[in-house]
Amino acid sequence: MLPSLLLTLSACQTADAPTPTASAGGADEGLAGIMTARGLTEDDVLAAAKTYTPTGKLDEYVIFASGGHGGNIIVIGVPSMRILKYISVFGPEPWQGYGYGGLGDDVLYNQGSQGGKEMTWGDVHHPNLSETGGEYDGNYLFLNDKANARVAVIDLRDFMTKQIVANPLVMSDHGGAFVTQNTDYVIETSQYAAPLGGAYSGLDNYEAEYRGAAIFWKFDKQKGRIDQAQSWAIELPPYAQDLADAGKLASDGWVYINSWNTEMSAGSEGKGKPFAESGASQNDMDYMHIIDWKKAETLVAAGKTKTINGIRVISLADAAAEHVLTFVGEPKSPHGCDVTPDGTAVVVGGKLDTHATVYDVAKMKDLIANGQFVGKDKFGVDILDFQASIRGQREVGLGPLHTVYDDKGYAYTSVFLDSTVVKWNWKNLEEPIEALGVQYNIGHITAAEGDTISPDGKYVVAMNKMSQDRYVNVGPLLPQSFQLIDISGPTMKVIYDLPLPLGEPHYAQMMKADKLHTITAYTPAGTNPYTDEKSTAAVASGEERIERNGKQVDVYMSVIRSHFTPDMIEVNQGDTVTLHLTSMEQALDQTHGFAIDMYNVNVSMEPGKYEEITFVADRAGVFPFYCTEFCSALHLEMMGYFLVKPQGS
Amino acid sequence: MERRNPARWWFFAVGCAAAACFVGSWFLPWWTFRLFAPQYPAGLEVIVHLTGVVGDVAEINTINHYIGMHSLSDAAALERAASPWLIGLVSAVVVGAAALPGRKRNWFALAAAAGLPVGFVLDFSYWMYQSGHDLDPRAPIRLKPFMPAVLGDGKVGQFLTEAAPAAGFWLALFGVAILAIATWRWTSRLGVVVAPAEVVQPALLRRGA
Repeated sequence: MLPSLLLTLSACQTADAPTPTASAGGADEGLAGIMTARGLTEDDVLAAAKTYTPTGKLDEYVIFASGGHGGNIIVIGVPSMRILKYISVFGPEPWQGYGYGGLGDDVLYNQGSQGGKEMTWGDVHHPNLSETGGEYDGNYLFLNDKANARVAVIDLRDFMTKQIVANPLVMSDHGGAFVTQNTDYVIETSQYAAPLGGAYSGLDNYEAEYRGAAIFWKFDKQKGRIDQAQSWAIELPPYAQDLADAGKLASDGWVYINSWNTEMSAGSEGKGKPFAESGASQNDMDYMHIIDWKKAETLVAAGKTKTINGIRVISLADAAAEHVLTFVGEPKSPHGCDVTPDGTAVVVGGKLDTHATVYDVAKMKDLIANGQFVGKDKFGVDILDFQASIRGQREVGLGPLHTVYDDKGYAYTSVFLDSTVVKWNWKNLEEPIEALGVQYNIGHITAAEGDTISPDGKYVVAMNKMSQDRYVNVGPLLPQSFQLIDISGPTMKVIYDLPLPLGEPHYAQMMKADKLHTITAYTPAGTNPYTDEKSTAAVASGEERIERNGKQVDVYMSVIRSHFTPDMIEVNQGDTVTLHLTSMEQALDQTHGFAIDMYNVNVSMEPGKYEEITFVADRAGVFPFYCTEFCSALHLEMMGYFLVKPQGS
Repeated sequence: MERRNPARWWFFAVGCAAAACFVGSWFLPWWTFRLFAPQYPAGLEVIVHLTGVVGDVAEINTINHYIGMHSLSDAAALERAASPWLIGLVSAVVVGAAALPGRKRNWFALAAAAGLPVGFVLDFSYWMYQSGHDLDPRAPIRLKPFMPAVLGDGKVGQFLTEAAPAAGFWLALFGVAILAIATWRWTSRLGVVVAPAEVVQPALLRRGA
C-alpha cells in the first residue's frame, strides 16, 4: 500500500505546484511536505519504510558484531538497526557488573589471565555462533581475542560471558573463533608467529623457532564450556595465519586457513630490512592451509603428539607427513576464506589481488588422496597445483576481503579499496557482477544466516572501517559505520546507516531472532549463573543473616523491591567480607544493582540471580550502599550502610 | 409400593454427579483476579484455588508490600486447610441423601451443596475486604482502606483489576443446579416413590386434603 501511496505522491510532486489542502488528502500532503522539507527522495522514504520499526514491533534478525579492541560484543536488531545490547567479554564493564567484585571476576581476571598477568582488555575479531547440523542453534557465541590469544564462550540464554580460555601456545591469534558444523570444535589459529609456549628466541631464529598453530578447542555441549583437557593443536609454519573457516556438508572434516607471510618477514629486525608491510608482500602467492582435522583427531588419539605448556600438539613434521596439513597457493595477502553454503567450494579474497578465487573442495580432496603435489615448502608440507584446485576466479575489484552468501547462489564480497559490495554468481563466474558503493572502506560483511548451510538472502550488512562524513563530527576518533543493504530486489540498496561507537567491529554474524531462547529470570531465585544451579548460600525471605567467624564476615542478603535485607552491615577494619546476594525477583525486567560507595564494588542483580562479592574492608568509615539500577518508584530509597569501624577503636 | 422407581435411580445418579462436580471443583481454580498496569502489558494474574493462590503471586506480593498489604498466601489459612474436608463432607451428604432419600434430607443436602459456592463468594469477599483494610500503617504508600472489586472491573493505584469466577466455581454451581432441579422433581413426585410410609403418607394426605 505504501509504495503505491508514494508513487502517487511523487506524481503529485512533479505536477505544477500542487495546492495543499486540509481536507481528506491531509495525511498525504503531510508526507509530501516532510519529504520536501527534509529533502527526501522516494528511495529514502522506501528505505525508511523497510527499516522503521514502530514501538512494540520486534526485529526479524539479530547481529552479533565484535567490538574490536572494545573487547565486547554488540547486539543489533535487523532491519531496525537498533542496538539491543553490548556484552562485555574481555574487559570490565560496570553496567553488567562485570569485573567489579562479583562472580564474573573469576572469568575475567582468573581464567582470562595470560602468563600470570591479568588482562583487562581484548581485541575481539570473529564471533561465531554455535551450530547444529550447519545451522545456527542460538545456544552459544564464541569470540577470539587477537591481542592476548584467548577464546571466550558467551551463553546466549543470558548473554553473559561464561568462560575464557587462555591459549597456552601462541602470542596472538586471528583465525577464530570458527566452529565445526556441530560445534564439536571451536578453532583458534595464530596470527603473528612466535616460539610456541611463550619462550624467548631472537628474530634471527624466526624460521627455525617461530611457529604458528591451529588450536582445536573441544566444546562440551552438555556443560556449555570448552574442555581444555580434551583440546589439541597443530603446529604450523611461521606464516602469519589469517582468517579461517570450518568446512560443512561436503567439506565437513576440513578446515581452511589463509596465510599472508610465506616470505617469513619479521619486519626490519632493526637491521634495515623492509617493514613487514612490504617484506610480507613479496610473493605473488601465499598458502591456503588445508587441514584434515578428522585425520588429526586420529593422530591425537594414537598419542602422536608432544605436550607444550599443557596442551597436546601435533608436530609440523607429522602434520606434513600425514597430510593433516597441505597447502595450495592463493592470491597474495588474502583475507577472507569462506566456505560456500553447500560446502563444495571455498572463496578466497586476496587483499592485493583483484579476484575472488573459488577453490573446489572435491578437486582438492582428490589431489590429496591421489598424492598429486607440485612441490613442498621449506617445512616439507606438500603443495597442490593452484589451477588444478580451483573452479575459477572472478574479478571483483581492488582489495576483496570477505565473502558471504545468499539463498540464490550469489556471493557478496566486501572490496576494501574500491569501497564496494560486489554481488557475483559463484556458480556461474561468467555472469556480470553488480557493485554497490558503500561509505567507506568496507572490511567485513555479514549476511542473514550467511555462514549457515541455508542463508536467507534478504539482508547483508557492510561493516565499514571509516565513516568520515556520514555523521556529525564527534572526532577526531570517529565511529565505524554499518550499512544495512537490502538484497531482496534486483539491485542492492543501502537502506540504513548505523554508527558504531562502542568498539571497532571486525566480523559479525546475523541470526534469525526466533532462534534465541533467552531467559527472563534465573529460576529458582538464587541461581548462580556460572553453575546454573541454586547456590547453597542463596537465601529465602527470613533467612537473611550476618555470620562472623574470626576476621571473616559472611553476609547473606536478599534483594527485592525496594530494599536490601540486611540494610546495615557493620565490620571491623581489616575484616574479609563476603556478600552473598540473592535477588528474590522473578518478574521480567526487574533488575537491581548493588554498589558500595568508595569500595569499587558494583554488581548487576538480574531477577533471581545469585552474586558473591569478597573483599577486604581496608578503609574505615561510613559507606552507603545502594541499588544502581532504577528499579522502582522507591529506587533511591533502596540503600543501606556499610560501616567499617577503625582498627583499635 | 414398587422399589424399581426410575425417578429414584435418576435422583441417585444426579446426586452422585453433583458430588463428582464438587470433588472435581476442588482440583480447579475457583476465581481469577487479573491486574493491568502500563509496566505490565501482559498483565498479572492470581488464580484462586480452594487450597491457595497460584500465578504471579510473588510479583503481586512484591508490589502489594508498598501499600502494606499482607502476603496473599497468608489469607484464609483455616478455610484452605479445611477445604478438602468440607468438599468431602458436602459430597458425602449429597450422595448419602441421594441413596437414602427423604424430603428433609434432600433439602438439607441441597442447602449444604449451595453453601459451597455461596460460602466461597462470601469468604472470598471477606478476605478481599481484609486485604484492602488491614494495611500496614508503616507502608511507604498509604492508601485509604478500600474494597477491591470481587467481580468485574476495579481500580487500585495504577492497576486496573478484573475479577471473575473460574472453572471450579462454575462446576460447583453446575453441581448445585442439577441437584436443585433433581430435588425439585423428586419432591413433586413424592407420591410415586418408595419412602418410609410414615413420612410419605401424611404428606399425601395433607396434599389430598
